[in-house]
Amino acid sequence: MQGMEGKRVQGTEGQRETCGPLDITRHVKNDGRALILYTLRKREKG
Amino acid sequence: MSEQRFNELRGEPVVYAIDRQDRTFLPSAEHCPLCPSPAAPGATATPGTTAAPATTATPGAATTEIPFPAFEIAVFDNLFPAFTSPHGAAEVVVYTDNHHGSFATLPAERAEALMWVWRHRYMELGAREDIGYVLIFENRGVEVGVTLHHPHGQIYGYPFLPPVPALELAADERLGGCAVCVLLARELEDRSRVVYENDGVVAYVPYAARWPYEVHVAMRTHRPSLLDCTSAELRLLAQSLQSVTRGYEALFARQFPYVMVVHQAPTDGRGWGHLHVEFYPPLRTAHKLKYIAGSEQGAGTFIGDILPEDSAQALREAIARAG
Repeated sequence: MQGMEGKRVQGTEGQRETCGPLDITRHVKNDGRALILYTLRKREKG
Repeated sequence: MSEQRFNELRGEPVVYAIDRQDRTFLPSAEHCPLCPSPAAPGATATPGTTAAPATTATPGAATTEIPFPAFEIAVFDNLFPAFTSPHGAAEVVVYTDNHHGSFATLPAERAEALMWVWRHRYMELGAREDIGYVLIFENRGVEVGVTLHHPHGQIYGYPFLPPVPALELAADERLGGCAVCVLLARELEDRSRVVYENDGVVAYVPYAARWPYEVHVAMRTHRPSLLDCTSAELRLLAQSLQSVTRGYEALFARQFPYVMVVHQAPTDGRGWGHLHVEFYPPLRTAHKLKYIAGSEQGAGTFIGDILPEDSAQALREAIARAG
């Protein structure tokens, strides 16, 4: 495996700014598996 | 837990995920694991917050993979994974809580949101040390092996660089630069195989297409991955993918099976890539399949039944009909 210094993609879990118009909600299912819900933020009126 | 072996004669890895033999197979709509779960009285999902575990479905009632009464787009670890951490990842992306429909019939706003979800998963999975390549794909129709009809796709995080993206890197070297940029320029000059275009994206049947109605949807500007796209480009990409898939549906006036694959830069630091989406539809007529048979499997040489220029003409007309 290559080290992180070789990784082209860097990211921090949960950074909202990386998701554009989406809100993220993270969950853990009862069996331990991850579940992420993505919801489109309501656009501002006006 | 899957096992990886190396096929010396083919020079390629083979992955065995034997637990997948028992995966859910074409359940009825009322037993769909990708539908929302029955609601508990007063229970609601709360977007924008972190909560665990998810328990808003009716207590005691059968829950699906998504224990919420409603959702927009959901991503979860595959129950029957081909890859698992710390040796890769396998995720399911559910496009909608509506069991019926397809990517083509999603509202435009939802299709655009899906581009952002793909982008986010590429970023998070690609940042993992155990993942060298992120493959986002959709299998549409039983003809290509779909086992669940609910509109969804999948994401594999490979712990190695698979053969196809490795071939793309080799093509970059062979052509002395980005292969997709070179091929896109040729298609735009020739124009006979272009089936759709907008300000950010061009869709074409490639000069040497392997499948009768194969289409490549490429970003006009060199963008290694979804992370490099502007918001406008993501919107244009969603529009182009929906135009192509709607055109497919109009082509033979029937549900049109395909494999849709997002090609992006490897995440192991090698190569640069050019974001494009490839469609591999198995139909060669309304009722006949193109099979991966003797020449294709034994010699690695596709034998085509229709010239790309002719299939492009038919697809252009179908996309126009679909609107």
